[in-house]
Amino acid sequence: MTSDPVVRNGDASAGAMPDLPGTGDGSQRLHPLSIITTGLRYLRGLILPVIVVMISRGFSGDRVENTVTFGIPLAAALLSVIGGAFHWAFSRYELNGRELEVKTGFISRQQRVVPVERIQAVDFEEAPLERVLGLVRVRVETAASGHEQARIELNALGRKDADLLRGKLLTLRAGMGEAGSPSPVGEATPPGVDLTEGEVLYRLSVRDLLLAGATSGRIGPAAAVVGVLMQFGTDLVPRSWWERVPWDSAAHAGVQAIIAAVIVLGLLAWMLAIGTTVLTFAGFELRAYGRGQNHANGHSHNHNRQLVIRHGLLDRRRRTIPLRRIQAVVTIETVIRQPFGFAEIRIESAGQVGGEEDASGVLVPFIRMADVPALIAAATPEFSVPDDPSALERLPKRAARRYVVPPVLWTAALCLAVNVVFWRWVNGLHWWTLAAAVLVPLAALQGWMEYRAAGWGLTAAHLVLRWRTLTGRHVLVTRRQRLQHRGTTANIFQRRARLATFHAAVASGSSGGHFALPHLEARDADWLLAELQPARTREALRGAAAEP
Amino acid sequence: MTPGTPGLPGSQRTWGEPVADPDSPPEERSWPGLAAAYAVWPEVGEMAPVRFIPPPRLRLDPAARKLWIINNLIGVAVLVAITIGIMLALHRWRDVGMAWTVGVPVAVAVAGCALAWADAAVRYRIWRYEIRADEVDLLHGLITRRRQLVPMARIQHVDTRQGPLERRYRLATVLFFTAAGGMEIPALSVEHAAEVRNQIAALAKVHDDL
Repeated sequence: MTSDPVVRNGDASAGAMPDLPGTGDGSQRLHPLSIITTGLRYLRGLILPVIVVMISRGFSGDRVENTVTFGIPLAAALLSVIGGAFHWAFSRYELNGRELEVKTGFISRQQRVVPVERIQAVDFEEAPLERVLGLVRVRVETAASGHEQARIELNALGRKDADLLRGKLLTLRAGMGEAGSPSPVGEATPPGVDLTEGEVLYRLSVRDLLLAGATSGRIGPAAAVVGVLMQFGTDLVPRSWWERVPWDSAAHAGVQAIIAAVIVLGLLAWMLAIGTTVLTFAGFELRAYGRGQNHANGHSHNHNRQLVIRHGLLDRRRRTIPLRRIQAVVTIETVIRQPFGFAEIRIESAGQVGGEEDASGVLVPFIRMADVPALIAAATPEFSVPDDPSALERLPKRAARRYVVPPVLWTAALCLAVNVVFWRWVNGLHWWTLAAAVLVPLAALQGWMEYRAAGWGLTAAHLVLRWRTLTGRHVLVTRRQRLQHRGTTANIFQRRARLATFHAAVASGSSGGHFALPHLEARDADWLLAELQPARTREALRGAAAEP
Repeated sequence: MTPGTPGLPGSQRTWGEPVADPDSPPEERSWPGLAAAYAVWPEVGEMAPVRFIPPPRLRLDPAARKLWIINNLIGVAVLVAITIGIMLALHRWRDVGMAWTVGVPVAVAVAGCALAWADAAVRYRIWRYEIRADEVDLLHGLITRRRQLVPMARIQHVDTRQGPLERRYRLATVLFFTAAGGMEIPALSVEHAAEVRNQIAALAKVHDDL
């Protein structure tokens, strides 16, 4: 495994990593020239502070002062090189049987072990300088690589070593991995996907598009934009039009004028919201490509299936989602849309291995609630469950208080604070400061609705969670075997009431993917934890397959 | 939607007519699977599958307490320094008496030290972990008790990490990552940390595509 520039662990440097015991002795160093490239990377991080410090010191006529000022970048450079040297001196990597071990760090020592089976890709990166020096930066990708802390990088290897390492890793992986089943996330799209016979699953009609805009939650941001525009309004609106407004009488009208202004602003914001929605989602189309449509046992037939989403008026967007990357499907009925029976469907999908896809996003921006089950059955059959809300397990009655009381207390405290501030320090109480008290019953109502909406269910194949936020009601469907980890939390009050919050996490390229349902019966939460054990899940799936 | 929905094997089995559960009031139970589960809970009979996972049993290294006390004391020192600064400023410009200027930081320091000790002791008492063949099980948290279960088949890689203070007490932290984020077992003895890390790494290799 060794080639020229690599120093074997065991000569002069043997004592460098004494503390953590127990790996083989075949560990290798990075290329010595990595001192320079790593140092340069450190230096790049220092450039901005150095410039800030230099500018803040300024250049006076004093020679000593100037020496210090110019000494700063020199010191930074020196520090970077020393940092690079330390990084080199304390970094080792080793292919130890079926595991890649990487040790780094001087002050905080770190030793990571990556089972070869988990490696999804070994990427090389070469900056121009690295190319000149014949170095390669090696990145080892696993499904966890989306997370900053979990990134595995060998700062600089000689080209030969890098090729050797990659070759070994990939042959090791190929030797074992392909016989088993592919990992659930992050596999590259198979090349043989037939892209000709796309099947349109959903289109957004013009009427739906306008309805989507009219009920979109974008009114808030739009109102802000309109408010800002209003500041410059006099310049934007034709003067003649502006002068026709009866300003004098408006000034006397007081409250009425304010209300009128709010209504006008609201209407403008609304139209803006409709406009942006139309721009974003015009021509929306969801297509499915590849084999394996609507089989009862959809799971095994979906290897090549992809969903393609197209939308946008000016900026045409196109997203491709391999079906097996999808981790969860969330149906959202926003507060505005729910009374009209409309919803939005989002998906949580893993990946970003190639870095080219969205981690999660909109599957369908606007759809009749009644059509949701059919669409999910057609587009993502793996996530289709009988849509009978009453079948979901509700939370115990004593959970209701815990949904209602905290928001009531918060809003009450806020109201009190506002009123006290106005009473003591501003110009006294007003009817509208007192009117803020309506927030309290609203908060109670929201809490009650959140309690009513909360529910969960477990089938042989799926975990279903339903909850409500200020945005609206969410229904999450994920498959049991898509869960990455799960857990419960219970604070002091919950423990006293024998309640617990259930947590579930699915793979997600970015930060998303974590879901929580507060105030379950503690027994139920425990039972869910047990029932979602891998062995239990296998059992349930087998039982379900045997049954029909 | 009918029960025979595509992609939903076994839906008929687990989602159905509400059934009364003898153990709890009828309005709280509507799902036969659950009712059946609790009919035998908590006395786990031979025929009944496990209905809850017994909590993890292993403790961290006892030296964890010292480590955490020192960590906490560092925070307390910062807090005391800030308090001293504020009190000095008040003394100088706001005419606050000498007794307060000395008393408040001292009180903060004393309370801080007591809390630092108590926090470390209680946290150590609560922390439990266990590495089973199929899952890693963690239980910790003072005010919010947190239980985390991570299937081995989902673990992408394992690290050990050692900060300067940890090295002083020959401790190390084991971190492991799934595609949804990372978790850690803090303050194990160095040898044990390496052991745990290798154990997880070995078990995590089992490829399990359900």
